[in-house]
Amino acid sequence: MNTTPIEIGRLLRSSLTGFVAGCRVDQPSLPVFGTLVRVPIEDQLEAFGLVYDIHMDDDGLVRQLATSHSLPPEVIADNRNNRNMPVEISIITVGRRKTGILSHLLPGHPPVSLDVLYRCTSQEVRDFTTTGRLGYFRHILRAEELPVGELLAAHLEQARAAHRESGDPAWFKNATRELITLLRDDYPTLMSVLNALSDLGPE
Amino acid sequence: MPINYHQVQQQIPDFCKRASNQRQEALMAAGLLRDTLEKEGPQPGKLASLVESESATNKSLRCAKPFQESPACVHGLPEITRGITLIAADGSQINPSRHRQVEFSLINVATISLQTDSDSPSTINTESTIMDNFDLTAGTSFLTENIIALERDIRERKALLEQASGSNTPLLTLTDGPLELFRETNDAHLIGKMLGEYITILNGFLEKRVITAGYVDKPQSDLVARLLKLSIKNNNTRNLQEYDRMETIRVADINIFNPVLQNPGDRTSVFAIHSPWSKHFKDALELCFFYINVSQTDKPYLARVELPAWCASSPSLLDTLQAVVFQQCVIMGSRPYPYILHRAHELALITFEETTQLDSMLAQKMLDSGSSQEMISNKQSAKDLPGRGRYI
Amino acid sequence: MNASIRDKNKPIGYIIGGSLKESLRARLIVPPQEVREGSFVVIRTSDWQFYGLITDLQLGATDPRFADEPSGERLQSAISDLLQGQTLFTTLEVLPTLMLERGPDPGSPEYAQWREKRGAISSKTIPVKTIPSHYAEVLPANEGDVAEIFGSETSSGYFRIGNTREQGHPVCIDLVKLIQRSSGIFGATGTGKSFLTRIILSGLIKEKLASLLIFDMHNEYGLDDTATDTQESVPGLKGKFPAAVRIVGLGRGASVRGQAPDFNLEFAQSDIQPQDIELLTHELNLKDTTPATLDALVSSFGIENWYSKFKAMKPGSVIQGEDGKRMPAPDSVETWALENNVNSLAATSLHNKMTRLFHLPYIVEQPAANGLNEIIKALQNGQHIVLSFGDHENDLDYLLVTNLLTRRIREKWVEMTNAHRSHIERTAEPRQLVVVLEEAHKLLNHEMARQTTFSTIAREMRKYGVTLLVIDQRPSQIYSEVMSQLGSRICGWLGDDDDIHAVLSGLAGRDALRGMLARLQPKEEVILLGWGIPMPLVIQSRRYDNQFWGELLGKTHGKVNETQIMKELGFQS
Repeated sequence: MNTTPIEIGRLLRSSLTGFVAGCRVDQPSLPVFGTLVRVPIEDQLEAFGLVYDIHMDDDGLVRQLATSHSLPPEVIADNRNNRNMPVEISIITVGRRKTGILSHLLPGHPPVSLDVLYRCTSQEVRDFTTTGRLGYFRHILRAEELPVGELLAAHLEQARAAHRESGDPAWFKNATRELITLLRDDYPTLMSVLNALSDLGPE
Repeated sequence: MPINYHQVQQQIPDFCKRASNQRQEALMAAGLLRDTLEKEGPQPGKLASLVESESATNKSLRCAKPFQESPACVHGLPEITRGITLIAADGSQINPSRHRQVEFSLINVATISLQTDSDSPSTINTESTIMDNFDLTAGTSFLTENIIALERDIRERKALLEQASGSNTPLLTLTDGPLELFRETNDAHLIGKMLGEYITILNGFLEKRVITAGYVDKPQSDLVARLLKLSIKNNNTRNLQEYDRMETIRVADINIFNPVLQNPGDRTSVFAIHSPWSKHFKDALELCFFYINVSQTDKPYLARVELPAWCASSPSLLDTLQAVVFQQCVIMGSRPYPYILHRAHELALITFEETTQLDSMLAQKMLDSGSSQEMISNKQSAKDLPGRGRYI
Repeated sequence: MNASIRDKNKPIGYIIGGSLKESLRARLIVPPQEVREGSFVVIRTSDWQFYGLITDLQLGATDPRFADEPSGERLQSAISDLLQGQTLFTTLEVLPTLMLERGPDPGSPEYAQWREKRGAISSKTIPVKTIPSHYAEVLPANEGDVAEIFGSETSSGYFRIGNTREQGHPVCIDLVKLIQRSSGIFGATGTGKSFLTRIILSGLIKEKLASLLIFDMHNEYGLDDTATDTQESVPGLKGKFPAAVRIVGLGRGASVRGQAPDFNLEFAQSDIQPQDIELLTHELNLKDTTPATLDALVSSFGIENWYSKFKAMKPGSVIQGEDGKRMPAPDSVETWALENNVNSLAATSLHNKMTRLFHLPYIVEQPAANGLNEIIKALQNGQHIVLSFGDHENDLDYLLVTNLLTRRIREKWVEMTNAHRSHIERTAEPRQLVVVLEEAHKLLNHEMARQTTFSTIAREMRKYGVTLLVIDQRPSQIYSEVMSQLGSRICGWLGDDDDIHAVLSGLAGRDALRGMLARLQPKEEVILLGWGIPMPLVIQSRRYDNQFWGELLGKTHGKVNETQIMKELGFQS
C-alpha cells in the first residue's frame, strides 16, 4: 500500500461536485477506479474525491490505425506518448480538508485548471473514511448517473485493505451496514450495491 | 442558399459526360504512351538526348529524363531495413492578413523522429516563429503567401537536417510534397537567396549521407508523359494527326504506371527532372523521382517520391527509401499515406482557435505597451458574426 | 431492587411507537424465538420504569421485496446477514400495565435531590398513565422486577403460584387481595384446574388468612384422591392439614370414600324455605304456578312448618263422603288446595315434583346433631370445612345444599358483622370466609344467579367478610354481573371463544390479552388477571406434588435468614 503521496495528473476542468484530471497513458501511477484522491486547492484547503471514470477519447487517426493489420511498436509508443490525448480521470468530490480538519462537506470552491491531483496514502484513506459516520456516501448515492454499485465496491475494497492493514477489519462491515441503512428504502439500488460488494469476495 | 441548385442541377449531366469522356481519352492516351514507354524504354540514352536537343529550342521544357536505367524497368519491394531512424517534418503557417487586428505571420515547423522496430517513444519538436512584413524581404517587398510558403519549405528541410545530426543509426528524412523548391514570385533576388540557402541545406544532407526525400500523394504530374510525347513527336513514323491529338490530352504519369506497378511496393525506375529550375540542382543534387505503388490491395495507389541524385545512385539507399515509404504507408491501413508524415502534419497544424488566440495575445501586448489598438477589418468583423443559431 | 441483578439482563428491543390505547411497539433486537407472547418485560426510561406484557410479535420488512426474495443465495453470507439485520425485523407489541418512578441514577448527584424532593414517600407501582419515550430499552423482567410487582414469597401473605414462563422467576399472588374480593379459577376440563385449586387452597390454609368452606361436589379436595389421568395418588387437604380441615358428610351415616367424616350434616325440614324450592325450578321442572302455591303453603302453615306439612299431605287421597260420593281426604293436597283457594292441580303437581326432595335422607324432621352450627363454629374458629357430597352428587343435591348452607352462613356472618360493628368491644369480628364453589355456573348462571345467595355474596358480602372462590370450566355460563365482580381471575387454557371473552370481561387491554389466553399451553400454563393481580401475566403454574408440599409445609415464618435474603438478591457472601 502506498505511503507517500503520488502525483497522478493535473486538472482539466472542475466544478464543486466533481472534476476531471488528465494524465499520460503510460504513467505508472495511473489511478484505478474507486481510488481516493486529493487536490490541494489553496493553502489549507484540499478537495477529496473518488475516481469514478477513466476514459480515453479516440480520433480519426487512432480509428484508422486500429484497422491496420500490424502496428509496429514505435507507432504504438508514439501514439500513447506523444499524441495530445490525455487519459481523462473523472472524480466525484466527496469531502475536503480545511485547515487540517477533514470533513465530508464539499470544499467552498472547486480546484482550478492544472491543479495537481494526488493519490491518497493509506493513512489518508483511513483518516478520511473514519471521519464522521461515513457521511461521504451521500455524495456517491446522490450521483445517479454514476455506476454507484461498482464505484462503492471498488472504493470499499481499497479502503478495506487500508483498514485491515492497520488492524481494523470491522470497518468494512460498518460501511456495509451504513449503506444498507441509507438505501433500505431503495431496493434496486441497494441490491445492485450489495451484489457488487458480494462480488468482492471475502478478503 | 449560397448555391443555386436549380442551375447546378441542369449543368451536372453535361459536366459528368464531359469528364467521363476526358477520362476515357486520357486512359486511351495513357495506353498509347505506355506502348511507347515499352518500345523506347530500353534506349534511355536516346530519350535523354532527345530531351537535351528539345531543351535547346524550348527553354521552358519541363519533363522527365531517364536516369541511369531503362524507364520501363519495375522494381519489386525490397527487404525492409530494420532499426533505422526516421524523421519527418511538416510546417504550417499563418499567412499575413490586413484584416486582422495586428498584421503578422507565423511559421510553425514540427519534426517527429521515430526509431523503427523499437518501443521507445517518438521525439517531437516544434518551432514557431512570428514574422512581420520586414522579415525575410529586408523591406524590399511585402511578405506574401508565396514567400512564406518558400520559407516554410526551407525551414522544414533545415529542421530535418538539424534533427538528423548526431544519430548513430541509418537516417531517412521525409517531407510532404516535392523536394524541388518551386514557387511563383516576382522578387528574383529574394528567390535566388532562398534557393541558395536551400541548396546549402541539401548539401548538408549529402555531407551527412542522410537520405532526404519528398512524398507526393495522389500526384497529377505528367513529367514522364511529356517525355514520351516528345519521343512520339520525334519518331519518323509518327502519325502527325495522332500526335496533335495527344498534345491536347493531359495524361498524368500515374495513368501510365498504374497497370505497370501491380504489386504492393513496386516502384518505377528513377527519373531525373528536367526543368528551367533544375539547373540550380546539379550533379549529386540533381532532383530525381520514382513512382511507387503504396496500396496493399490489388488496386494500385501510386505516389511520387522525390530524392536527390546521390541517393538515387545508391541501390541500397534507394531500396531503403522504397521499403520505408511503403512500410510507413502500410501502417495507415486502407488509406495508405506515410504515418510519420501524418504525425508531422498533426503536430505542425495551426488551428483556427490558435490563430485567434495568438491574434489576441499580440493585440493585448500591443495595447499594454501603449500602442493604439488596431481594429480588425469591417469585412472580417462581418464574417465573424455568429451564424444563424438553432433554438433548442 | 439491586442494580447488579438488573444489569444481568440484556435489552431485547427498543420502543419505536405506540400509544396507551393501542399498546406499545418495540423493535426486537434478538432473534424472535428468544421471546414469547405473554412474556413480562420492563421498559426503562431515565426516571421511570414501565412494566408490560408482550402481546404480539410481527415480522416486518422495510420493503416487501427484502422478505420475498431470500438474499442468502445472491449475496455473501456476511452481507446477507447485515442486510437481513437492517431490513427484516420483528416488532413486539407490548401492553403497558404498570409504571414505577425510579428516579435518577443512584450514583448521580441528581439522585440526592430527587430523594429529598420526594421525601419519605417510597416508590410504588401505579397503573400506567403515560408512555415511555422513543428508543426506551425493553428488557425481559428479571427476578427482582417480578418480585417488585408480584411480591416475594418471603413476605407474609404472598404465595408462590408459579414461575415466569421463560426465565422461571417465582411469581406470587397476594392472598390477602385474592380473598378480599371474590375470585375465579377457570380452565377447560383437564387443564389442571383442580390441582391449581388445591395449590391455592393449600396456600390459603397455610397462611391462615381465612376460613374456607369448600363445596366438594366430586369429593376431590378433602381426602386423598387418584389423579384421573396419571392414576397417581393425589393428597387431600385433610391429610396435610388434619387439625385445620374438617370433612363434613352429607346425611346421617354418610361416608366419604369409605371413611367416616368428621361429622355429618343434616337439615331440618324447618330450614327449607320456599325460595329454596324455587331455586330448583329447572331441576324439578316446576311450573309458573309454583310461587303462588308456596306462598299459600307458608300462609297456611307458617315458614317453619310448611315443608313438613306439605310433605305429610297425601295427594289423590280420597274418602267416601256421607252422600257416598268419593271426595278428597282431609289430609290430601286437594283438600288443602280447596280450602286455601289454590289450584288443586297445581298443588298436586308441586307435591309430586317435590317428592324427590321429600325422599332426601339429609332433610329430616329433627337432625341428630346441629351440623350447621358445628360448621359455623368450626369456620369461626379458623377451621376449614370440606363438605363432601358423598353419594349425593347430583345437581339437585348440590344446588339445594350449597344454597341452604350458604344462606344460613351468610345470615350468620351478616348478623355477626352487624353485632361487631354495633358493639365493637364485646363481640369479635367474624373470621374472613371464602366459599369455594365448584361447577359454579350451575348456581351462578343467568337464570339462577338472581335467586341464589351466591350472587349476593359476590356482589355484596365483601363487607361482611365473605367472598367466593369460583371454580368453573364454562365461565361464559356465569352471569356477567357476577363475573364482573371477580377481582382475581386465574385462568388456564380455554377452547371456547365465549369463555375467553367472559374471563376477560371488564378488564383493560382485553383485545391484547385474548390472543395470549387462546394460545396458553393446555397444561400448567395459566394467566393471572384482574384487580387482585398487579398486571396480567402468563405463568407456569406450580406442580401439585411432593416437592410442593415439602416447600409449603417446610416454609418457616418469622425471622428470615439474612444470608438467605442476600443470596436471593444476587450477593454471594
